[in-house]
Amino acid sequence: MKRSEVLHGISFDVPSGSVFGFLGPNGAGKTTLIHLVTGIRRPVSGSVQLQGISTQDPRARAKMGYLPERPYFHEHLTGESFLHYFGSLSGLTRQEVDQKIPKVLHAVGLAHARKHELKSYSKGMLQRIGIAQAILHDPKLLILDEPMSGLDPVGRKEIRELILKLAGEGRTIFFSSHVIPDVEAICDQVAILEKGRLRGCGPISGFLDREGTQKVEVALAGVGSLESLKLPAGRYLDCVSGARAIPEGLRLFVEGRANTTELLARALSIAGVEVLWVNPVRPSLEDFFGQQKSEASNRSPEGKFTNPNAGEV
Amino acid sequence: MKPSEGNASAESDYRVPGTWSVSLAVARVGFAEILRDRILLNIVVLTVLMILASVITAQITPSVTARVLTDFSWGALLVSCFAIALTQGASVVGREIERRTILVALARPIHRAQWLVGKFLGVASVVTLNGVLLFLVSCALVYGMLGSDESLSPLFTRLAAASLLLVQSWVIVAVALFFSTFTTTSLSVVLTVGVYLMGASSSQIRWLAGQSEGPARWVLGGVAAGIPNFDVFHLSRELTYGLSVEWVRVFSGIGYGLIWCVIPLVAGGYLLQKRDL
Repeated sequence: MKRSEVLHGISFDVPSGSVFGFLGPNGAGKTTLIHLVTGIRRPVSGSVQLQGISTQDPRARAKMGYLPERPYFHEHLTGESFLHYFGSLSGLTRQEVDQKIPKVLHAVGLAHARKHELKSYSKGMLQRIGIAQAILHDPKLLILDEPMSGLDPVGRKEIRELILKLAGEGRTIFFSSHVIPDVEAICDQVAILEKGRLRGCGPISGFLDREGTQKVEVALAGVGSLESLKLPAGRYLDCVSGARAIPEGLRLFVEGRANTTELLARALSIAGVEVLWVNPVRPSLEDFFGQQKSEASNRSPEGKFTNPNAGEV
Repeated sequence: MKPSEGNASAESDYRVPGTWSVSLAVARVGFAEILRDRILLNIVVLTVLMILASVITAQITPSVTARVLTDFSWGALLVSCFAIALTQGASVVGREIERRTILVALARPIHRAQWLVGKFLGVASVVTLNGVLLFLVSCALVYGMLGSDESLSPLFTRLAAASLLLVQSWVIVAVALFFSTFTTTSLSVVLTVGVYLMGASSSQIRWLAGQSEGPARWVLGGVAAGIPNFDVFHLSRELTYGLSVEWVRVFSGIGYGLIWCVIPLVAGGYLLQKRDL
């Protein structure tokens, strides 16, 4: 079988106690990296260590809980026997497992389904019992691979709330996703992976508040078109990224706070013009992705993406 | 990925389960999963066939009814245990990989070899349960119908033959599991059948090696030594003709079989440890 290099020189820190989002499109290498961290795969070269112990060593996995993407469990087991099974694999005694099961099932909201076979569980319940097995042995690090994949909006919300609850108990949560709003909603830190390369890493605010990307939405009444604002040609037209007529007047997207201030001053100097609302538009990670893609397409084929945050494995 | 805070915890913080605990947990789940597939229904089918065969043979071959019935019930036991050992042993790892149930288990603080031993114990338990039930049914039929027939083989011979047959089935499970750690289910079945056929002809291969010269002698000798000798487990002649069996032969056969359970499992555990899932 031909081997191909999937991940290229990836290195980043996951702060203890944080909710760390691992973001990237399908095929970026997120699951491969998670499999390396959980010891399911072996690196072709180098090593993956957790607190100084190779992840190929079972001891490194003793403090880690893992939920795979779209988990499939032995459906003939009941929720309770399923947790007994994973309790045994985690080194817990039967007595310890018996004590922990009610607490864990209560934490994930499945206390009512402990005697039901997993084949009768919904997708959301399977995700939650999957999280239950991951936290059964009280790990400090929880690795969740696409935990909201395939869930409806209610299920996504439940899992988001559960993740935040688990984070509140002092765990470090590392979860992958290709759904940007999920990551934006709950993460403190984020790493962005694309085609096996780290495109960025750090506090999520760093991606959302990048200088020069701030956009402001302005709605004006008493204005029919951009021309009626009598803006000087050139500069102001360049800074307006979108304009749309609304029943009351005009809705604009203006790039940059300084431009917005000037545009508003200009508009208010015209008789009959009224400001309906001014909303700063936070750039999203989707914008960041879009920006990264356009930058990548503008580079020459030989050009290499230089990322000051990226190190070597 | 590296943690930004904290030093390595004390050694006692890293709780790693023991081999026996892991293997038993995996075996329990595997055992229940296979039984859930109603695999033991084959006993009902084979029992009905044995009853029919006993009625028919009693009428058409009244002088050798005991021998025919013994052969038939023995064949049923052999085929049933072999089929379960082969199909379940070859498919159990592939099924876990295909369904990805293996991922969560192997992300736990366990060695893959422990998991494989658990899978072996699960399948071997099903084969044993199947064999014991079918043996009891066949004994009930044979002794119930022909209890006074002097040509019947002694009970110890039957027990010895059944024990060795079960051990042979365990070896087949272990060999099938070994192949399934690096190839597909269907290929594991083919390769395991190949090993069985060669192992059942092990005595002839050894004889042929003795008659050969040069590289052929070494090749044939290597083949005979590298696969289990299934002749060791066969007591069909003693069973059919009601001959007695020595304890030594039975226990040496069981010991030999257990060694041949361990060898493929150790090799399979090593291969599974190296395999990317």
